[in-house]
Amino acid sequence: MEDLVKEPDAGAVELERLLLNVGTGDKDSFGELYTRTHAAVYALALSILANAQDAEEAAHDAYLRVWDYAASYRPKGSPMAWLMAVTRNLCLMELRRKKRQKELTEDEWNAIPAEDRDLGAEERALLQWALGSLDPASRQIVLLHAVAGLKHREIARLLGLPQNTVLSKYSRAIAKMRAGLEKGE
Amino acid sequence: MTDKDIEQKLKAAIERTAPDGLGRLLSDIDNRKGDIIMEKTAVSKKKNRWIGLVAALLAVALLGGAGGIYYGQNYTVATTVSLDVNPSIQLEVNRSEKVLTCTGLNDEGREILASMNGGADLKGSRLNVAVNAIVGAIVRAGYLDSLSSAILISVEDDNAARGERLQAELVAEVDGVLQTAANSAGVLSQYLTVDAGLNQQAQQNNISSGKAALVNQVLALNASLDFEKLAALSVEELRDLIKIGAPGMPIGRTEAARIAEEYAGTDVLDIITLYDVDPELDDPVPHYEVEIRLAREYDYTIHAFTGEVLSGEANITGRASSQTSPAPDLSEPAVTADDAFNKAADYCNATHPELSTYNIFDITVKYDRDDGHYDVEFWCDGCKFDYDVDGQTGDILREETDYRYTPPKTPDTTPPADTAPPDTTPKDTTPKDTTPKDTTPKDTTPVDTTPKDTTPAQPADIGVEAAKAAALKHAGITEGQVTYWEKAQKDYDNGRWEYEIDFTANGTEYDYEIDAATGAVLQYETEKVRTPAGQQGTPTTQPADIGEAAAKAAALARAGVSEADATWIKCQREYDDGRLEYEIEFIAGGTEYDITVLAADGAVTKYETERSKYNTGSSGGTQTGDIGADAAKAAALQHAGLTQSQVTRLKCERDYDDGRLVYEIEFKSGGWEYEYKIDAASGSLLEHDRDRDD
Repeated sequence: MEDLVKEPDAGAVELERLLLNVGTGDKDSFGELYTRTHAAVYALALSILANAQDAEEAAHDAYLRVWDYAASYRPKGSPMAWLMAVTRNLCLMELRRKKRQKELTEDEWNAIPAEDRDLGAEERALLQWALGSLDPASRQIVLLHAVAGLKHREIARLLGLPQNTVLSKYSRAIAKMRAGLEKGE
Repeated sequence: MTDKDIEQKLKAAIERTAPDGLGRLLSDIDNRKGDIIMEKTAVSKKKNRWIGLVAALLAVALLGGAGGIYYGQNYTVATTVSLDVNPSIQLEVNRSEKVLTCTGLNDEGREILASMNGGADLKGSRLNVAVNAIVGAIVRAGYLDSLSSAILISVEDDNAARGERLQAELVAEVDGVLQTAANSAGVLSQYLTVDAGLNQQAQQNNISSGKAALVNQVLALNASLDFEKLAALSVEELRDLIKIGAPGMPIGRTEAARIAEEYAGTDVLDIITLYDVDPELDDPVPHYEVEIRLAREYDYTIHAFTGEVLSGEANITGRASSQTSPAPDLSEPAVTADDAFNKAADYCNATHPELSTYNIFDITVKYDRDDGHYDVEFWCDGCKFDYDVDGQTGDILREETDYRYTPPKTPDTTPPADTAPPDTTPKDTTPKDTTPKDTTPKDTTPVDTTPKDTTPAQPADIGVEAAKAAALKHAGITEGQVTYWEKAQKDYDNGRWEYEIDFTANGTEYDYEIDAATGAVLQYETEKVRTPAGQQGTPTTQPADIGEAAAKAAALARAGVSEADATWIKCQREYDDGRLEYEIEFIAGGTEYDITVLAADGAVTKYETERSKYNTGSSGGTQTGDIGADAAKAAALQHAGLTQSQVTRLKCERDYDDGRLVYEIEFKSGGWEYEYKIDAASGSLLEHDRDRDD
């Protein structure tokens, strides 16, 4: 089955180059890598942790790990998938830690950071209730595809789900979000 | 609005809202400089499994970075926090939760702090950061290795709200460190108000006031015990003593080690042979497990109260010296199979941070006697790892990784032909060994299946019946109670003749190794089994196998857990009782599931749940041994000498506390406020408190 969006090949090659440079301690490449990818890393963290502040912290930790471990990265053609795997593992750890705290029993979706970041009404709606209406797995799939640009089969690998499941969850999630947004317009 | 529109809008919204943290990141990186690599290398050489990298990194950040900054606005001690394992360390913090002093209260505590300038480096740092660093160091020193070990966090503060908040935060912090280290040690915690008497007791015995409070809990159960002797025990021993009602004074780890060494005959040697002492006071037979290493590993169990040697081999020095040549004997590894696996997993974790080592499965560990190394193989996140681990030093000699998807040199436009996870179709689907027991060495030394061409002449032999009798006697089982004799076989193993006696009785499977010459119990294992009637049989040569994916699905269905909620720990295919089974373990909703699924038809033959040590969520309350809320309330009221009609505001909550299900009960009566904690399994009173109701 065809992927809906192709990851820009040139982008992947460039990310790979940046990541390899980061492995040699190149801070400029690290800054460039950050600029190109931090929205995706943040989006994935947000989709798992469901909280803007936690996602910010997790993204921070993920990049520290990237800095520490870039030297051990082995080119596999998809540096973004590697970055997402590092982020996801950290977030799952954090999630398990959070679950131990009794006050955080409910999965309360809170995508908007505490300080207003000048979001438009539609963006606010998309982030807060359209995404919030999805189950966590669908949220991850949507954000990994739309923001991180991962292919569906890469998402399937990352999440350990069959590719068909990823595709159907993705289609249903987008349809649900569209219906919600159009209704709200 | 097309799909593409929605994707683009979503991307734009996230990009707008994603905070820019690059400046903070670069600053953090600058503060850590190049120390990280050194830490990572050191980590892979440690004994523990999957050392807490986060803890190590934080410690580095603390020591190498902002360690010298001292926020000295407030020197008044607001809270005292103590951490006790056997090292005891005390931290005094001010109202801003910054560390004022950090002191090792005993030799082990001072040793832990030695790498932090005796604790001085922690001054001025935040309490949680300091605790993280200390616990990381305690883990690295190997104090929290065993599953049953425990750490006690005590928070002493006259401000109850702050004290209780700090208690919860520190428990989460320590849990985080232990979890990162894949360490399953228990975390105990308590909040105390400042008590001059308690502090005095603590000071006199060089322990923390928190540990003194724990000792007093033991004394409340058995006043005949001695405070000073109890103070010398570890937190794990004290916790277990409380659990079993403190029937007496345990001999302690030092004495257990002395007895074992004397029995083994290694006490006269100039070399250190003692490797580990692990208290198991809450076992049906309370004992200490003592591990001695001399050419290979020798295990001893010593009764915790009488000091009697329950199992183990006497006088090993003669045997060891006659067996070992001056040159290293590659046929007997110094490293255990478990440690070899841990070394490989450490290495994998340190070199592949993108993989989740929680997902390791299909582990095989084989010892190659010719080369003197272990061949460790496992799957993790779709990659197959193959390591050679030196049997003498534990060093990684070779790593081979087989990625599921090969790295394309050119941009990838076509999906790989093989998109199915390889783990669902392992190449090796037929068991190499159709003997009932597993093929991977579980215990200390790999089983030697090579021809016994070098076996010495047979010494004295007690005979198979006497060996069976010895095993039954040790197990406290009569022959009539045995429902199934699985094995009674003489074998030459580990340099001696022994009988392997395996049987099932009272729903428990017993595996014994009996010394053929003396009848001594060399090793034993027990495991609860729930086998449906009529299932026992001999293995077929080509068993049906539903496959791992279906086995996992069956386990999830039995547990009522969706795959998305499960964190896999293990899925291992093996023979047991002549049947091919999948042993499956996972965590979901704060509960650890241990499920065995028959490979032939997916039938669940074992189902056990336990509250996960990684998680203290509120779910998972379906365990057995719950007396129920009414009985718990009755127990509390009975203790207070009140009836239900005499009390108001009666509250009863079921909760987990220190790894056990408890009922927390509160009520008011006659101007007093009562609080009780009742063990849900036994109904016994764990804690009670009565305060004036203001």
